[in-house]
Amino acid sequence: MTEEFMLQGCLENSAAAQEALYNRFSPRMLGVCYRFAKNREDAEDMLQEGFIKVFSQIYQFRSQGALEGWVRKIIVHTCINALKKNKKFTDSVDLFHANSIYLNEDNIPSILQAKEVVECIRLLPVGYKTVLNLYAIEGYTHKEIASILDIEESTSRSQYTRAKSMLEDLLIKKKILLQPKEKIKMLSAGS
Amino acid sequence: MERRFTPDEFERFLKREADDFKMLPSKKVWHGIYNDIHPGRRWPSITIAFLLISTLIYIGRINTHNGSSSGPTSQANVSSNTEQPTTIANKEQKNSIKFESAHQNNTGIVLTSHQNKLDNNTAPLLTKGTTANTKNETDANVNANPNQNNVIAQTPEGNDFNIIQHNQITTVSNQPAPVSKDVNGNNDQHTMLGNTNEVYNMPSLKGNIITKNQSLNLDELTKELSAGMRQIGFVITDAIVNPNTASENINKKNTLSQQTINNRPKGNYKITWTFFAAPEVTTVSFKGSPIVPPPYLSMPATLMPSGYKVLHHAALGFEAGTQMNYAFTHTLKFTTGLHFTYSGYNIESNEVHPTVATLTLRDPGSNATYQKNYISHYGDGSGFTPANIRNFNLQVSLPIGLQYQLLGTEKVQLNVASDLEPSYVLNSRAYLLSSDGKNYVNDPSLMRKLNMSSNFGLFVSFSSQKFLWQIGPAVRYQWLSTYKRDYTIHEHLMNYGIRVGISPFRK
Repeated sequence: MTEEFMLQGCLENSAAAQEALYNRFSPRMLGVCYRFAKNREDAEDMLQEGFIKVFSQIYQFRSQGALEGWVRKIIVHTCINALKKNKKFTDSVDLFHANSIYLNEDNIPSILQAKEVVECIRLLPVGYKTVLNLYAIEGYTHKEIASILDIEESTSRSQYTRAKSMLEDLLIKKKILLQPKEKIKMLSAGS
Repeated sequence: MERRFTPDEFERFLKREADDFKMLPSKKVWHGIYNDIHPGRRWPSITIAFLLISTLIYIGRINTHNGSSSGPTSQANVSSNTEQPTTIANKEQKNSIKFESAHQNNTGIVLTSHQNKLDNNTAPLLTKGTTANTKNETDANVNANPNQNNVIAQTPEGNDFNIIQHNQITTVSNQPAPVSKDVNGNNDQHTMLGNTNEVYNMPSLKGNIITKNQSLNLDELTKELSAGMRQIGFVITDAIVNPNTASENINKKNTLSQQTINNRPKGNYKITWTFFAAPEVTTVSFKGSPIVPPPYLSMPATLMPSGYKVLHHAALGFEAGTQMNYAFTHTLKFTTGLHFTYSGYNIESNEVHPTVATLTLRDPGSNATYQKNYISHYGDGSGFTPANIRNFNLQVSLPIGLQYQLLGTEKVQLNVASDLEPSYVLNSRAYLLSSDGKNYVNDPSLMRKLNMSSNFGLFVSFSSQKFLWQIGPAVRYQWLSTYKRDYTIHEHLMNYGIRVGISPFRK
């Protein structure tokens, strides 16, 4: 089923078209939700709520961009709203205590790299990983992030810096990223 | 300032890895979405379910009739103006004897018949023993004497009858009778039967006489006579039931039908049997945490906080069996029987190349940990070649429980039942999650053979012509883990279903 056919069917409230759209985008969207959520059940709840909004607001899609991008935007906003509603941002740490955060790295099962990276992202405190997800992966600006999360733009920048540093260290420790020295050696050997 | 990565390079790396990451949602997510955006489509299923239940209850009510044939304790209708008497069972009317009158004398109740010749197997004249009239009458008389323990019946010649006393059958035939004695041993012109095995020369009447070795007063005798005659197929006229009013000559012709004594019901009526079947849905709950092997041998192993889960969903199961019900009272019954239960659920997994997987187990006796290695073909469900693997459990159990009638009438009742079921696992298969949460392994040696479950149900009973039907929801919960204690993750199965049972009525 092509995207146009699915879209047309969804506008006519066709269950088959809706299911086809859901089946096409839900695996990746669940991955998006999983990066924001505390666990898989929460991620599925966000996914369900997000797709309900997609189907109820499908008439607002103007075909000016990719359908997947539009769906993804709705899913991301649903995740943010769910975090706000459940006051998950209270789990965030302020910058003063950021250095004393302990990450239980042994909890990460060693599997495919993509999941490893995502699991490392999920280990971060809620505020850090939300800003990281929105800026580095979803492509929002700090100004937009500040508006969405009701924080200052400077707070968004500083939280992102801290999150990125923390994630970097974690990925290096997990040997997903190379140490800088090893990378220089490789580059030297190649040249 | 030294920088490890350029900002764009790191962010590109993150975005690339995050976009490559996909997860398959469970089916309930789509069901939730569908039910939310198509709410109207739920109503037909609810309506159909409601109609089905209403239809079942209505069928149960219209299939019952007055005067249930559920057993010998039911009472036949007593009517005084019926040509065709009501019988308590669908027995073939073989022969009959007509009673034209009944009256009471100082010895008891006398039923008089002018029938000259009786057919074979004619109706017995039920009573407690008494003397008979030895006059040359062609009447069949029964005199009920509550003070005597013997039975006498006199009929026109040509017929034999059986006397059953204390369940012993004596055939009376047309033989020369010895000189009769009364209860005091004196010669008596009356012919009577003294002891069980004595046979006298009775103008034989084929039939059955039931006696009891008991003394009763007249009222009790009347009741017992009536009950006994109903028991063997008689319809008691008003005159017979109330001998005090029967002095009038009642010219009513009532046909009484007879059953042979072999039709006398036997057995314990407090015990009934139910045969049932129940399609069920099996769900599963997991408790406990896997063991983390220590980094060094000298360090103890620890239980890992549960950071990963078994992705599973419910599947269809089945339960069937037989149940014996012993009635303590009208409303409370003890139940036991034999049940067979098949439970199963599906695990969402994905196919992987043959991989070495490890289970870290704990010996329950010594508390020491040990490891077992397996070759696994199934992963943790996050890959792209999904596979559903089936865990199942087939058990036979001996339930012990109680059943209580909450409310109801003779035709329809609402009951609640609960029992404990020690069970033996006949066959099972369970894929276990490896200690690192990556793979599923199958090890039959880790499965329990004995288990304990409990069942709770609420059901409606209604009677049809031959059966008692039961239908209602039931829930079964398995108390002990499917696995042995070596495996620190505990699995408990729970079955939800609709039980349909049938109990044949005793004849």
